[in-house]
Amino acid sequence: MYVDETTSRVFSSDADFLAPSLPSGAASNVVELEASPKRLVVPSDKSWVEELRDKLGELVKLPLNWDGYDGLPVSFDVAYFSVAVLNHLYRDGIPCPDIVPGSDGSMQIEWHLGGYDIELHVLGIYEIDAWRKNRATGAQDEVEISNDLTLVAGWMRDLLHALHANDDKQLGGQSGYAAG
Amino acid sequence: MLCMQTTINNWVDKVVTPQDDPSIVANDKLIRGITNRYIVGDHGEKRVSSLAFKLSSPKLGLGMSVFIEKLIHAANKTIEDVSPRDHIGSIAFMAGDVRALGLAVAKTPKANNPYHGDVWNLIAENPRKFKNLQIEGLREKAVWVKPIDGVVLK
Repeated sequence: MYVDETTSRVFSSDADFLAPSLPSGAASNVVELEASPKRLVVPSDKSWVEELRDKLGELVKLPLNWDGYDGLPVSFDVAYFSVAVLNHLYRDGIPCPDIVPGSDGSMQIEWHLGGYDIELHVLGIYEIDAWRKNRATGAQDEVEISNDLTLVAGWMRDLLHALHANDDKQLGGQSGYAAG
Repeated sequence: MLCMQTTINNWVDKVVTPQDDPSIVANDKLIRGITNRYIVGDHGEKRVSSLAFKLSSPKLGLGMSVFIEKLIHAANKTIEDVSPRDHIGSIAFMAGDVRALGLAVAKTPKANNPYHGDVWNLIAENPRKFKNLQIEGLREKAVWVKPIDGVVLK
């Protein structure tokens, strides 16, 4: 995965693996998500995706009408793109998000911690509705994203900062983390 | 695969024009089923995801699915009688509260659910989704019908 450090984009090359053709066990950093009739094969070396592998496998295999309202399973396109997004946004120190299926095959990635609510509703490839709320100030950000994740990468930095600040507070300033 | 395609086709067939039905009055109760898939962690608690308060399919123009309680009662049934097993909990909104958020509600019966209704966003510049203020407003106005142990709504 190519990462531009000046901006933060998920480039089209990230979607190259949308054709699930890698052989089983092709590399140590390949996560396979069992799914039928196609197999979801996801390149990953990031712990969020490792942690979510089983759940992602469940979500693409959800039965029809899983929500009692004719819900569809999460689409393979959405699952693969979500993995690319998760790998791109990964920051050591931020806990794994929750993932929630949408009725239409979409998927929402959510963090509710550190005084923030961050939600990424992945509607399709390069199609994300992103939202953040700062609970202390009530300030909200809402944006539609295609491939430029710069703003959300900034949200991750803010979240990590808040989590470190909370740790520092609990340790009475002895954690060695310098705020700011 | 054929089964999936059939379902997608059914979804397309079921797309209806968003509308507001005046026969659904302000104090009519709209009930939304909650599955375990909608439960997320929230600052050490468990909470219902905002996806439970969103349109079912923005791309296909489908609204947020609900049961219209008075239709259930008219059939001499209860919400427990008609809820699928996957609905481990349920919440309710009053139709008047929904409309006060700039949303509309109409009956959209389905073959397998004659009590079905949809909630749409009629007035927004982008009717294909709810604004976050509307999502938060729905959460604020929602009350448990069938609470889920250990899960908060607000």
